[in-house]
Amino acid sequence: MLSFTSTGTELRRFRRGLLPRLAVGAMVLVPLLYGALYLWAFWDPTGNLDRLPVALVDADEGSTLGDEPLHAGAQVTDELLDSDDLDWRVTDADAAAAGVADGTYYFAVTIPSDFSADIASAGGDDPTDARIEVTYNDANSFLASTLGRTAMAQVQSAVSSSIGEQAVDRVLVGLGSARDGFATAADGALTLRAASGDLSSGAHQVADGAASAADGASRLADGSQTLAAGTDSLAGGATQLASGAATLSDGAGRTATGAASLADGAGRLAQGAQDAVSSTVPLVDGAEAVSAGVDELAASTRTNAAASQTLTAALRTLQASLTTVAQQNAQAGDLATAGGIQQALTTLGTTVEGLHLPTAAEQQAALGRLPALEQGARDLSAGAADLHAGLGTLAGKAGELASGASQVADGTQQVAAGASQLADGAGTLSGGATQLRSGSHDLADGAAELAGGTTTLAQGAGQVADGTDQVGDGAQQLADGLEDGAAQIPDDSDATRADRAEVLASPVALDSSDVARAEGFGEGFAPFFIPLALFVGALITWLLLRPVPTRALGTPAAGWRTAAAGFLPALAIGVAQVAVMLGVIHWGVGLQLDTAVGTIAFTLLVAATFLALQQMLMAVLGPAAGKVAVLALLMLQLASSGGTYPVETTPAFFRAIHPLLPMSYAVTGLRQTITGGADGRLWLSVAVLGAVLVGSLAITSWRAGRLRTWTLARLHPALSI
Amino acid sequence: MTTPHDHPQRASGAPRHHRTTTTSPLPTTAPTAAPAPTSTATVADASPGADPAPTVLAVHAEQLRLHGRRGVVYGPVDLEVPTGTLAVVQGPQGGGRSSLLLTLAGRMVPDDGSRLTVLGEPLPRRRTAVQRRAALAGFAGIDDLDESVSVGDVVRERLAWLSPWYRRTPRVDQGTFARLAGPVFGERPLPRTSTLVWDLDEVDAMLLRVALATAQHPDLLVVDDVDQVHDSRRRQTVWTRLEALAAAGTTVVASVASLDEVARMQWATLPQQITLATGPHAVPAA
Repeated sequence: MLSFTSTGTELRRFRRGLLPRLAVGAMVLVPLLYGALYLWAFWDPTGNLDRLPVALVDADEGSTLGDEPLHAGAQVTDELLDSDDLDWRVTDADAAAAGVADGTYYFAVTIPSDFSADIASAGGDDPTDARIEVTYNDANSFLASTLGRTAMAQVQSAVSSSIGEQAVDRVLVGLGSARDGFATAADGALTLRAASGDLSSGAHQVADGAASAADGASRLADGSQTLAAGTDSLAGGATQLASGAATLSDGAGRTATGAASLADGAGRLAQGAQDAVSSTVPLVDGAEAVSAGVDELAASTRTNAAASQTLTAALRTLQASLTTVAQQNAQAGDLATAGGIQQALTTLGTTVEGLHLPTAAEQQAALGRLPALEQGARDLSAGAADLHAGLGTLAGKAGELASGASQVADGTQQVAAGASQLADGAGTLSGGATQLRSGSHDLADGAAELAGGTTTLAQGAGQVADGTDQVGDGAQQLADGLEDGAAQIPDDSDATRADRAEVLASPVALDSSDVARAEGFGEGFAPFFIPLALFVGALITWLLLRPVPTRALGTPAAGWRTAAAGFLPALAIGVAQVAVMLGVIHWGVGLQLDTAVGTIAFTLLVAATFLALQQMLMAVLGPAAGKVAVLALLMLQLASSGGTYPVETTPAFFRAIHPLLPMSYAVTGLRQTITGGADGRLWLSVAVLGAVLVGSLAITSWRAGRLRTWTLARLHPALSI
Repeated sequence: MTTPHDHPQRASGAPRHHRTTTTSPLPTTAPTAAPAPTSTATVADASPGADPAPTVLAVHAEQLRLHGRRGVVYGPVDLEVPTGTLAVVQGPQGGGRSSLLLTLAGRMVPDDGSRLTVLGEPLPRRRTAVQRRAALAGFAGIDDLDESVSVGDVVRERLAWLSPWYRRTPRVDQGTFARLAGPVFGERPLPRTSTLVWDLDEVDAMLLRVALATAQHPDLLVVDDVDQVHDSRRRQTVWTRLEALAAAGTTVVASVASLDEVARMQWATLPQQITLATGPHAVPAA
């Protein structure tokens, strides 16, 4: 053993006697009490919540979901009882309230009476959150309440998940129906689209027809106008007819009278005609004689005519020849002869003229009238015959006329009666025609209105046609939209729907991964309790060991040797502390170390650092003030090391001193060696602790050198602990 | 030793001096009655008559004094201790003996204005050098031995501190212990190294502490509170061994509470006697 590593007699003095040995045991075991005992007690509080008595009240009155009865409260109660998260005690509301008040139960969970109803309401018209009521009493235990809140958050999450799943499933069923409905609606919209197409074409036809109707109505209006005019005439005519018929009746009456007279007259005529017949016989004979004489006259006339014509012609030839001779004598110079001839001629002509010979034209006319004379004669003859026959006939006919006139008289009598009736009828007709006239005027007006209306109808029908086109477009859009909508509503199988309900009921799940994972409270707190224990252990150690051995100060040994003489024995105790504590924590309490070697080495570093730091404080400040300072430092470190709550949650003061105190680094480093995930923070911690260790030893060494010179205060301390 | 001692002289402000008397078997009377000497120290040479050889002073002090917050601790003191002699500092408990001895050993700083040379080194400036050459023994609270430890372990601890850090310090066997402690114990049988301290006789315990102090081969050895060896016969043994050490060349300054200690003990050579009659607890000897 090198001289400087000697621990001197500092530890040997504890070898003998019960109390010194107990003292060493205390030094070694105090960290165990702090570290292991705390860890043991707090090892797994959350894992033992099933021993925490909690009242559970199921006041749920149930409800119905769809057609099925729903007892969500009972369901939740069963789940909670099965879960064994807490020591559930099913009880009633009064007992629960009393129990929470007097501490029998740490807190009470009540499922309210409308729990099922609220859950069922999820698919209904008035969805309401279902609530679970929790009554805490921090007077029972604040931490129990805190743990309970955590547990209840989990319960809430689990219950929400399972209960919500059912509710969401109902909603999804409805959604599936909605999808079907959408599909049906899409079909219907398509049908509507087709129908509106038909409607459109029909409406177009209507429009066309209405246009035609408008035309027709217009014509109807015109016609009815004409009709009105006609009925005006008709009315007038009927009036006239009525008066005419009256007149006719009168006339017919008189006609009947007249006809009776006629019948008389005709009878007499017939008689007279009979007489005439017999008197015409000589006339016939004479007529035949006239005819024969005319014939003879005609023949002689014709012979005279011919002779006259020949004479005339011969005279003309003579005249022509004499004229020619005259002309030739004139030409030949014999004007006297010519004059003589011409004289002769003129005398001749005057002679002829004086004769008054019928001219050819007169002859011809006379000749032309001859046949007529002959014809007339013959007609006269025939006429006479006919007259004779006719008179015979007349006689017969006059008889007939008499009888006929008699019949006419009868007939006209009837006509008079009929005309009277006609007059009545025509009066009626007149009245009717008047009505007809006003009616036809109404008709004309109506037809005009009809014409206007049908025009409007035609326009309206056009608009209807346009509108139905738009209806068709709209129906198409509706059909498309419904189809899209239907496509967007998930088409779930039952299994998919169940999955979806599950996901919707708890849409967000935590998928956490751990870089390093502490097994529980114990492991989480170990990095805090171990340095704490070591710091207290170091304090205990320095209560029993001498930080700066005065015997060494009495020698000329260098300061650092004195410091080592004080430090090394304490370090030996510290090593024992670390060994015992880590051993018990590992094998006894069950702490698993991510890296055993690293944890041991780091813990040793922590122990050494704390020992050196406290040694330095006691060397610098003296034993009494040094111990007070150590205790103060302990408190500061407890509050600021971030071993329990993250230092960021502490007030600014602790955040400020956090990086200045070595326990912060001890906690950080131990976290990494125990829980795992060692990174730069571990090496920073090692570096800081190493620096504190070396610095503390250096200061102690310097101070020890100074301490070789005593002061009165040290020789006779005013205060000693 | 609790007698109040309000010295009128001090109240008058007159400087007080310890009279260093030699060869006087009688306790020095309280200097209150003495005519006030000058402030120069009266140093009576221990060696009678003319000096056969030039005396080398191990300790030379003038106006050596120390006061703390609670008043005067010791001094002013003028003293000269020749090399290789034994000086006995007498004074009541709490009279500043330990402080004076520590001051002489370079372990305490006197008041400004004190002039002190120890082993040729001016103090307090050259404290470190004096600390190396001056050893302490018998100081309560400084070189106390842990009682449950064996003699060998105690010796080994001291040897370890005194040897270079890189050198091994073997277990102390009886022979090593004999070489170390023999000059101190002299004729007295050495305890076994395995003996526990609490089994040691008061004398052996005291001698052991002196032996440990001599392990650093000091030129000056200061031994406090020889009275801790309560039995006067055994104390005689201690004094004899201290005389022997002084005779062997180590200047020894030892303190004792009893004012008549020098007178009551037997000496080969009457030691230089230094009486601390000032200080908070100084009372005139009865």
